[in-house]
Amino acid sequence: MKSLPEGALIRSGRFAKAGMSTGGNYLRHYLGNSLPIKNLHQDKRTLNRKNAVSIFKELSQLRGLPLKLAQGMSMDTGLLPIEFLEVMSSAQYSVSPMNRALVRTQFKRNFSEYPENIFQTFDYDAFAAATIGQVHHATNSNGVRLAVKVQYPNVRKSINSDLKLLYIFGKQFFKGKNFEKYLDEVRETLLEETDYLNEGLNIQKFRNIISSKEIIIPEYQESTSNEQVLTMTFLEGDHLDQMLKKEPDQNIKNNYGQIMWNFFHENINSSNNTFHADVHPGNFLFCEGGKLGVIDFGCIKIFPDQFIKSCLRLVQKHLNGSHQEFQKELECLGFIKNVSDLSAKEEKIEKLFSNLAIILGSIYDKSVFDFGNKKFREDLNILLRNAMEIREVRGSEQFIFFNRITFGLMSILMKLEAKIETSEARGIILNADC
Amino acid sequence: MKDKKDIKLKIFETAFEMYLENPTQFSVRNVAKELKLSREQVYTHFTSKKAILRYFYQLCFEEYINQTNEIDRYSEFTLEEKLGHLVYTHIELFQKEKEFVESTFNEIIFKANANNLFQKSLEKQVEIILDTSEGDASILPKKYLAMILVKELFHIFKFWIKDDSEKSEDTIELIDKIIAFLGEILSNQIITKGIDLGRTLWGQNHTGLAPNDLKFLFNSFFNRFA
Ligand SMILES: Nc1ncnc2c1ncn2[C@@H]1O[C@H](COP(=O)(O)OP(=O)(O)OP(=O)(O)O)[C@@H](O)[C@H]1O
Repeated sequence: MKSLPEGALIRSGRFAKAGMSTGGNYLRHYLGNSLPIKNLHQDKRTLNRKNAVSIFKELSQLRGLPLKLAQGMSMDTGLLPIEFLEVMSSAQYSVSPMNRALVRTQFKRNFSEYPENIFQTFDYDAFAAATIGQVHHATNSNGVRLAVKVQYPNVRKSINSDLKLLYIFGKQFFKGKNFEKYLDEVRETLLEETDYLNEGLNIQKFRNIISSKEIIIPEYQESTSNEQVLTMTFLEGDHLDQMLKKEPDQNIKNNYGQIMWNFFHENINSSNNTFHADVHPGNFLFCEGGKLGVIDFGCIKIFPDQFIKSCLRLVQKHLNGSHQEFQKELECLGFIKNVSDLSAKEEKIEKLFSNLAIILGSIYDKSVFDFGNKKFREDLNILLRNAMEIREVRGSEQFIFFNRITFGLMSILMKLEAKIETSEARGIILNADC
Repeated sequence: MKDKKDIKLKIFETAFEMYLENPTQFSVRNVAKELKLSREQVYTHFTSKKAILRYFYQLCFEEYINQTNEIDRYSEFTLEEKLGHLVYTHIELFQKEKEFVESTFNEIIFKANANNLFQKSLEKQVEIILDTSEGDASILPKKYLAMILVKELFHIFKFWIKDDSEKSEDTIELIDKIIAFLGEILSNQIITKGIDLGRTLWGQNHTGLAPNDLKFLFNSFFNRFA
């Protein structure tokens, strides 16, 4: 190599790697132009899926973001092809933590002080990674243990550019133009999550709403928080996997499962329509004394009244056994196009929803439901796989979060293999005014 | 000795304020007058008008050294953390006087003779950092490498001056990526993080970046393998 052309830095570094994973053709292809996105636009038809995925992997800036998208979207009844999922959830996606110098300057720039001057103690080595930041142990002047979440620099910009990439790569898999609308919804939520003040307010809001003595929510520490740093009290507890490793008694698992089940059904009953919308195992801590710790209020969703009501109507119609009305509701919600004249495809979709209703409905059939039931799990898996094949986006974009909540809850309860009392919840649903 | 330093500081402070108020008013004569000194007395402390202003940067460097000494376990910092600390701290200090830096940096530091005290101090410090950290920096002699890195650092400062993102987030991200990248180069694992850096540079339009010095660094690097 005699001399490097202008912009050598960019090419040498970035494309060496992209080239390695996608083969010489791409390297040549990109070396001709320093604006890869443009190229992707132009040549998108020639990109095959594998390469698209691996380039997204290389270019995506926020290691945690694709994983999070993958988690979320995979639950949304197969919004992502399996290949995306595999790549995104691969171990390579672990984040490289912010180093001490960077953490220091993030504090200095945000609070005009270094962490050691703000807290009694502050541990520079993060104990947990978050999607867009990392979490540190600290204590305040009263010796209270704290969890301090510090955001990576320039996250908002990264989200925007990552989603742009995802849009380019995703478009080819989804026929419905709606894909863009869904991504917009995701983008909005993610951007909302970048404001830690907002999350702080959410913590307070939930502390006010949740009356259950069995649920612990951290205390927000306003004076040491801002948009990019969130301080709250530290909750001592095990993550789901850690807890299960200890092989707890069945009744312990039932208890935790029941608390979680009630937590979400109470939300239906309350008038504020406010849901914890980021339901995955990382956000729950299994604490001493059979209490459930709920963390991460970055994503809460306030559903429109109408939306909740139509969902409830759908479930009511199913539980009451009126199939025709159930179909009508599906049409109202925009899931199927015309009930009276179903094409083969519409029929397939209708069947999918009926099956989903049957599977989920079975939870409420008897007064106690066993989430350890193997058949239930298999049925749900088959259903999700079928849903994957449809690859079309239908219905209100609110469903992204509705599904995330529902399937998130299901998957945790199944992992717990909990036996859950469901008759009260059935009552809540059937008596709901909609 | 202390007295001497005090007078020097007084001269600087007076000049600094005068300059901020109105750059055209600022002259050695006016500074001397204000302090009831002769011009010769001023010149015993500073070689020129520009040198007085340049002292600002030297003071920032000294403050950076003070802060470094206050860090509990600084010796445990990695090469990247030490370099990061150096850059971030200077930016934090510059931030307080951004207007001043904006109007002077290019003239009195960037384009100035490389023998000025600020640049030399930085080079010395970077050399110490390279010396006391692990990692194979054998591509180039440390002294030369330090010179290149400081020049690169100046480009970062220039980038920061133009950076109008909120809280200079773009600069902070860029520094993080550049330093991670340098860390990789220095330990000969160029490929892993280059991609992130490239993206940041691209995303930021790399105004004034990828300068000749770095090109040289890359050339030397690639020539080793070519
Ligand atoms: N108050 C707390 N007490 C104890 N651990 C905490 C607390 N807050 C956060 N953590 C730990 O940090 C991890 C990440 O935090 P959090 O879930 O808030 O981040 P996030 O960016 O919202 O991540 P994600 O969206 O992937 O869940 C948690 O899984 C948990 O292990």
